[in-house]
Amino acid sequence: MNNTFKMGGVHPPHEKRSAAQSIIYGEVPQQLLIPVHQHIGRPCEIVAAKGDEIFRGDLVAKSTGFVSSNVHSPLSGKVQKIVKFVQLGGQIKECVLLSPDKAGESFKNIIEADKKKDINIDSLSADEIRNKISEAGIVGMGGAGFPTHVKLSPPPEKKIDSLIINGAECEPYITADHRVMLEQSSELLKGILILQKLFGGIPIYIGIEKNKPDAIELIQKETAEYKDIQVVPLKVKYPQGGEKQLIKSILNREVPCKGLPMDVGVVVQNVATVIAVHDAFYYNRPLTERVVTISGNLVKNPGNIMLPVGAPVSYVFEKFEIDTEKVKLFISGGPMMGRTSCSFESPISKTTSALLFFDEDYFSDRRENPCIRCGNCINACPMGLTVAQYVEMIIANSIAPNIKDSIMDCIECGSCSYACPADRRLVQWMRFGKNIITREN
Amino acid sequence: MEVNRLLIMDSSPQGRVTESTTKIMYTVCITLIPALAVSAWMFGWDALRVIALTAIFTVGIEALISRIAPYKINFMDGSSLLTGILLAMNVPSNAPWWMLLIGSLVAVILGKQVFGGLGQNIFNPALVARVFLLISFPVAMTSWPLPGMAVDAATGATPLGILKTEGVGALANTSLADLAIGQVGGSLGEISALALLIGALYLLYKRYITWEIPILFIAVVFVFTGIFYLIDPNQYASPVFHILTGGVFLGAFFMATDMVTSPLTFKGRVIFGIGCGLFTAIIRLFGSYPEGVSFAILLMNGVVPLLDKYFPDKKFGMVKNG
Repeated sequence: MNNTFKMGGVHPPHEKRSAAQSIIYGEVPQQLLIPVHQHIGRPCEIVAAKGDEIFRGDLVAKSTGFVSSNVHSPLSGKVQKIVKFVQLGGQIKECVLLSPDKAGESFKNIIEADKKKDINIDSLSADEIRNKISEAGIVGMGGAGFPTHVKLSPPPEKKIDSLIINGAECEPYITADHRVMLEQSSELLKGILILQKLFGGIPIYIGIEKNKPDAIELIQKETAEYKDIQVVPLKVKYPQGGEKQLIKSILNREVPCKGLPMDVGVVVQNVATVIAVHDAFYYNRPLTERVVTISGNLVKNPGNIMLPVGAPVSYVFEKFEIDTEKVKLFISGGPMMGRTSCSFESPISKTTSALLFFDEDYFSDRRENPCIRCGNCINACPMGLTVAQYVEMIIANSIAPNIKDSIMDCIECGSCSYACPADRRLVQWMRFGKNIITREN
Repeated sequence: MEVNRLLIMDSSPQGRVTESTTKIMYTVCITLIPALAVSAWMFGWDALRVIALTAIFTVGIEALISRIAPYKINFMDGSSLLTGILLAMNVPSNAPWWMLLIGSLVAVILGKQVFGGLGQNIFNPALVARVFLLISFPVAMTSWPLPGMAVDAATGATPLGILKTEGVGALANTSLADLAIGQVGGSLGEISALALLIGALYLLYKRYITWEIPILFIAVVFVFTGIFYLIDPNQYASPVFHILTGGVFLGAFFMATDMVTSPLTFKGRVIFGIGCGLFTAIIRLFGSYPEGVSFAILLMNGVVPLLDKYFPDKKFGMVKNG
């Protein structure tokens, strides 16, 4: 079996340096800066006020609409104030500054103190499942942060016939999902069964890239008795974990231009998200912590750590022996789609899958050279876009009407810029073009 | 820990391939070495003189322009050197230095920089220069030293020139093997199809060029001239003769595939390759010039923007699911 998408794609070095490191737990940080806006959609309304004593799992900010998501506190403590602070990725947004009661205690003990309860999946109704997921503030943990309950609520005319669990983790360096699959496979399975119940027993496909053979083997063993759950090993190729690429690889269906996965009857959920769903049902635990990979060439012992949402980046420096003096490039997320960030005090959010630290010389010369029309961007584009041509039009500010949809189809995976010998910032130009088009409409 | 240290802020992705414009350009230059070596062997020091002069002229002219141009020019990126070498391969080995200087000026200024420099030119700079020289100095550009002769040897016409002026009968003594390895008169780069092929195979392996343009180019020349050969072998030369002589190999593998002046899309490249082959064959068989490769490629260069526009590649999500 060699499941993969055909069009485009690139092969950056895997660099999964932290793959063998188990998830570690630190102590409770001195301060948390809980970001209020961690998802795509309408901003939340802050419900915590200065001076409030709140508990682990309490609501900090409330969802304000359907496409919005609750934010909860990962720890008990006192709300110091509401501040604006620079987020990973550079936007300045409101955060709740919390002083935890039990600073210095083991974070693992606090997580393990959550009471487990037995639930009967069969007795849950579809609405109950959606409401629970919505209440728990679960968003897509692969990076985009789209509220999960929205994805799980397709309009009735869209019949969902397959559910794909995304364990591809195609970004270099990141191993968070890999470790989660290895260490929480039974939770993953239970979470999958809840989602399966939601859509009335549809077949499940778990897509995992072949560079994680241990995860493939374990999940296969775990799901052996379930006939309708299938583990699909995927060819290692970036962006294998892109929703549209994953659906093509596993089911050979192409999500139409401007469409969504639900248009071809598929819902895709990331493994970490599925575990958050499990935690919401079995522990009544909202999404307040996540596994983050700490890696990069300045990290002496790369690894994976469970961090409460709101922990500052500087919290991990000592644990992973990071030479902070030398850091010149600091990325939240993977090197392909992650964003460079400017402050080590920015807080972790629900969508932070990795923190990567590099020195100055790690990546190539970054000056943009003239396009030589070599076509590498076109060959690399997993969406089949004529990137060089579009970017030429975007720069000239004369976007032909018939290519507007194509520009909007860009998934910003970064394959084109990666492949460009002239070091052009093609993705950035495509984003620029998208902005021009959105503003026109 | 102070906030806002001088960290690099840049748009994603942070990773890059090790490929670069400079590396591509110099690699193409290197793949031309086998063909240059054959020329040097055949024409002696004269060949090396021509190559050295055009290389110095093109890079030097671009360096001068880079001082006055309103945009940034990296004259050491290998693109002007490549233009120089390709120009050298398109002229006879006895070309005088002033002709090479004029050719270099035309190639760099009229062929490339007037359009805005690297990547902006519509036509292949080396071919623009070649055609300019061919039209301006028809005698100097068509009296070819014959290879393997003594120093200051006689000059003669190319096999294609003989074909044009004297007909098929005059070619009886020219063996196809001679054509393949380069035992014929011609410009520096035209003479050895085999040596060119070695370099071209490496470019194909590195994926700096794609198969569509060269293969279709050569195939169409072969088929088109083949049809006429079948109709009347006494009037028309054989298709094998046609693809091995003149600039077909040089043009198909090194000139038509020039990234800047060839189409971006697959369908575009297919049409481009067929067009180049067709025009070459038509000019050779019915035109007044013995050779048509340069004109064919320049003609097709001109339609590249249209090909890019009207023959886009298939996009993801454009098919209905079955």
